[in-house]
Amino acid sequence: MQIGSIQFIENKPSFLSSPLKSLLFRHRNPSSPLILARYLRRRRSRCRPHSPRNSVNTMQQSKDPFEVVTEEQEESPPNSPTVHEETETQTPTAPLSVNSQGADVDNTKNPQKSAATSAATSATAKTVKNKEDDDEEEEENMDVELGKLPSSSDPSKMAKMQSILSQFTEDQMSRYESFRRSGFQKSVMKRLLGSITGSNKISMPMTIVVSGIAKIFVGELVETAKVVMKERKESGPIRPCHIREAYRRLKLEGKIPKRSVQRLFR
Amino acid sequence: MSNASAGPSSKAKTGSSHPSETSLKRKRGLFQKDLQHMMYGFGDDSNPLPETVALMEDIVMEYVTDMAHKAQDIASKRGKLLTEDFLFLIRNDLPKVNRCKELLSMNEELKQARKAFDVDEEKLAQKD
Repeated sequence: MQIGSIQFIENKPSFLSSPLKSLLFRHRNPSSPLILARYLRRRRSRCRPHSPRNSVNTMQQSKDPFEVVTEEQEESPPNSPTVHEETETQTPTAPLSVNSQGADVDNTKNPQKSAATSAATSATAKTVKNKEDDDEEEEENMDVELGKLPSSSDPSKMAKMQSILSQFTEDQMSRYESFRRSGFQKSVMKRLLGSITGSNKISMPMTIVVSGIAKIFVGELVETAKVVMKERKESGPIRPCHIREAYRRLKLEGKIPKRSVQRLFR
Repeated sequence: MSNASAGPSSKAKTGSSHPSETSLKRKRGLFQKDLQHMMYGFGDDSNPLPETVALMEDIVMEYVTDMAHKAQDIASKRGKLLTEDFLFLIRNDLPKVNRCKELLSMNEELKQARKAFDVDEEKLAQKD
């Protein structure tokens, strides 16, 4: 499966120095629909809020129920329904350990994971756990998108991604986490599209597509603004003048849809 | 008319020429929180300036509106507005095309997984 978002990173100058070949995927049994389905059921039952973060400052300290779900999910890929039930009992304990941030989480989680996997009967679970001990530090924040990901069927890409992610500094990791996790709220986008087009029923794929397009557009704007800032040798947060210049440049490139009718009296 | 009834705190929707949008007045922080995280993820400071976020929101709203209008123009020949119309609009922009393909295929896989899960639950229920 083509991984388009990573291609996007490669094409643009960005703070990530090395090309990220593929999205990281933790499950070693990638094609099992049970994993995905179990994750989805959990997600439904938890009524996950879009983003529980209170402010941008505390971005690094919040733990999304998403993460809890997917962290618990990875502990033992279910080969049979019995394994499935066993790992479910781990769910109440998992949230307790994930409330702390940083290295502490790794230490508390690893013993817990060993407890979880010892309870699991399948041998594959143990091998999974061993491989994922290393991943734990880097990936604990990545679970949201990763749980959604089905396989990237290229193990070399996965290995490359892991090696890149393992070398991230904390700052880079938090930025990557924001990059992966952030998105426009589907409900808001759906309402917006409905009001623009005038039709009440906006299909879910359409909302998803427009949200994705808008996010990449934001990315192009921000990255172009960063380029502008570098040219002007300025630093600090991006200012509106940079955004306006970036917008003007994107318009010259033709990436902004032109209005067929001029908008008067805004 | 929505414009006349718009309070001082809310902005009139960009498509104010369309009388159908009486219910949606554009509130300021419609995408504010999401945009903050998104801009940080793409390279901005961890606390983007509020005026920058506001400007971004305006730009994004205008972008989505224009895209939707263009998609509708394309779709009006066929009749119904479809996802393919949006995909046609971005056909020249390779990163967007690939990302949308990926999103749609992921959506399909999730749907299949849900279906499979429901089937498995039924099986489990039958076993018990």
